[in-house]
Order: sequence, then C-alpha cells, then structure tokens
Amino acid sequence: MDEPYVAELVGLLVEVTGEEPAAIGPHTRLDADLLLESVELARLNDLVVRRHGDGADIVRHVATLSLDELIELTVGDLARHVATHAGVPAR
Amino acid sequence: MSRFLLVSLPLSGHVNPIAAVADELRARGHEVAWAGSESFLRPVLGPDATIYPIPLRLHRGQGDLGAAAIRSRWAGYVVPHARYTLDAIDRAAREFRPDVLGVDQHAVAGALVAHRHGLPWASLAPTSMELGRPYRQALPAVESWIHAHLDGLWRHAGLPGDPPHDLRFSPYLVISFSSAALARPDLPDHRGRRLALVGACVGARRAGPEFPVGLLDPGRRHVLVTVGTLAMDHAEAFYQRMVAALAPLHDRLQAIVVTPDGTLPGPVPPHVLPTPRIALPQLLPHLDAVVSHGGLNTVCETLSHGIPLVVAPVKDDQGINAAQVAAAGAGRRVSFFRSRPDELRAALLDVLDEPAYRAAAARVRTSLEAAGGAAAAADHLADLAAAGGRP
Repeated sequence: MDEPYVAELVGLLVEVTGEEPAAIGPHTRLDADLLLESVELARLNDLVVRRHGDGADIVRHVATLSLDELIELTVGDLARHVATHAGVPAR
Repeated sequence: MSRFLLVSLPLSGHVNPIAAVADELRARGHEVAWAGSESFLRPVLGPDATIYPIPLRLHRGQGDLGAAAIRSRWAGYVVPHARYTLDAIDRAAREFRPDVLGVDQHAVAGALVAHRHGLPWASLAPTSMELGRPYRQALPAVESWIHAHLDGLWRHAGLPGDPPHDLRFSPYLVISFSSAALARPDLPDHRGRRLALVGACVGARRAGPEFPVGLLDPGRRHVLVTVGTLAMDHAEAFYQRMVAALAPLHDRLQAIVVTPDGTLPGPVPPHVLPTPRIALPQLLPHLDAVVSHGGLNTVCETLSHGIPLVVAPVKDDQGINAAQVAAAGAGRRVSFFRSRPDELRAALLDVLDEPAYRAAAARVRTSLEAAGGAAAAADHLADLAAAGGRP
C-alpha cells in the first residue's frame, strides 16, 4: 500500500539530489546512505507538502524522532508517514 | 594580573583561535596555563607554554556524517573525553589555582571542574555547532538526549542534583569566534547571558609552512581549495570533481589544492598546485576566492580579508556556516557529495566574476574587524577575572 508513495518519494529525491533512481529504494537510509543535507530535506519537504498537504510535513515528522530513529530513517519509513498523512489536515 | 586555565580538545580548529587569545592574555602580563594533551598542544603552542598534561583521547566515529556524526560526537567523543580527563583537569586546577577557566564548549570536564571549585568560567565556541541552538527547535529529542548525557556527566563528577544550566553555555560568559554579520540572524535569545562574538582570532600562528608564492603568476587569479583535516575519507571524489572543474580555466587562474600528502591522483594540469599543508594567514593576501568545507576558522579568516567563498559543507557545523555565508551574500553553497564539475566551475566563476560577492565579503570583513578578535576576547576574560565571578 505504500509502494506508490515509495516510487513517488524516489522520484522527488532524484529531483532534489540528482542521484540515479536505481540508487534509491525503500531501504535506503536518508542519513547514512543518501547523506541528505538539511537544505535538501527542506526542498523535499516543500515538494511533499505541495502534493499532499501540511499533514504530510516530513520536517515536522523528523522533529519527533529520536537520534537513533533519525539515523535509521529510510525512504520506506517516510513513504509510510506520507501514506498515513496525505490529504489529512495538520493538527 | 590574573590566572587563566584553558581547557580545549586536541583539534586544530579548536585550539588555534584559543591559542591566539592565550598569546594576547600573556602579552598583557596575565598567567596562562593549558590543561590538554601535551603531544598535541606543544607543537602548536611552542616551548614556553605551561601545559598540565591530560591523556589524549582519540575521536571514534570521526568519519561519520549527518545525524550519525551527532551521535558519534557525543557518545563517542565528548562524553568519554569528559570522563577520561576529569581527574587530570581537576588536578591542574588545584595546582595552578586559576582565577578563571576558559572552556571549549565540547570539553565538558572543564565546566565540571569550574563548578566543583566554585570558579568563574567562560565557554569558548570555536564552532557554530551549538550557538544557534539548532536542535532545540528542529530536533527536540536530540536536544533531550544531549541533556541526558550532560546530566550523567554532572553526576559522574559527584556534583549534587542536576546541572543548574546547560553546561555548553557558561552563565558568566560565552565567547564565539564568529561575527555578528554571520551568526546574528541565527542567534536565539541567550537570556541575558554575556555573549561575545569576537570574530577570527589568528595571532602569530606557529608551525605553518610557507607556501612558495613565487609560483603564483600575477597575470592570473588565485584560488585556494581546502577541505580541512576531518573529511579526508570523503575528500578524494570531491578533489577529482574539483580538478575537472578547474581544468579548462588554465588561462584565468591558478588553484592551490591542499591534500593530506600534497598530491592528487591522475594527470594534474600545471595551473593546479597540490600542496600538503598551508598556513592560511600567509596565503590569504594572495587569493581571490577560497573553496572550502566551511570550517568556522577558514570561513572567518577568509572573510576577514574580504575574499568570497564557495562552501561545500561536509558535516557538523559546516552546513550552518555555509548557509550563513550564502545568506550574507559572501559566497555560494555547493554540495560536497553531489555537485558535478560544471556546477563547481559555475559557482567558482560566479564568486570570482560577480562583484556582489566581493562587496558582501567586504561588509563581513568590516563586521569581523569591529568584533575585535583576540584582543576583544582577552578584554572579556580579563573583565570576568576582575569581577571575581560576580556576573
């Protein structure tokens, strides 16, 4: 059920980072594997919020994570967050 | 005259500005001693410095990036360093009997010893890592995790209850080696705490090899490429892309490229000059632009000559510094891991050819000069000693 969101996030991450699509999958970690910088995360978030509304805000989601969760956060985890919150108004 | 005990970490970027402040204090007749690793400090400080030796603690996980670097900085370095060095720093304080301690923000044992002895102390911030309190808003769970470590260190030192304040920030005085023009937009309310942004502290840096500036052709412009000492695991690919970026520019510039062993792999065009180590203060008067990882000292020293930067941040506070340089208009931010040669070349030519960058760098230079450097830092520390710990 998260698969379409994984595919969409991979596309957005390719747009933000310029990496090859084949290099990014559901198990790719944003921190250790993609070395995603805060400016890139902010750009990704703009794209996600524009498509799925404020409820899907990933910067706000990341702020709730512990350091270990942050280090291990994968594209699949983010897809699950977006799938759950797409179109849901922010609290 | 007063007595100052300085506590730092065995990292060049941390010790260099503090050493300039120490020179200034000694020139005014104050007594200065260091608690630190003798094998690291002696070559930097010279034969006359008083050093109370503390064991050298190596930094595990130094190659980590991103959020993993936050974990390794605290769990792998700051916390074990504080536990490992506490007794030796305490002994230094008992023997030297300082009036004031100057404590690197990440040498937490220095803060603990100041509390144990009821001595006034200043936090010294050689990086931009903590000053803007980046975790408090964006990553509150990370901020709580750091506080749990600080609470643990407080108890480990046998101090009662909980720390009365954040041990990264002395309630007496915080000295940052950044300037208002860079850091001010990011500064949260430090609630009455005395916060001194003193700018670059260069001093008479020792152990700096002379670069043969006779190699520089006055008819071309000159660019320095340096990514600091901590990013070497990741630097090779960046250098390759950077040399490719520089290759077609032989008629307009020469590039000094600092690498660990002074060599670059593959064919190196004659206008690219690899070199193992440089003393930045010696080279800066000859430069038109600096490509850097964005360490705070490199950024502030470069801007104090009004030279624009291309910043490719790798880790730690470098992303903060890169964002501040870009926001001030004094340079461009690029991606260390991803920028292609054409993008690196475009950014470099932009800062060289577009006068707005140089004009903005000159504005930052004015702010850095007004900040006062090592003399201002020494003024603040001497005031603290004269006040005898009364805020």
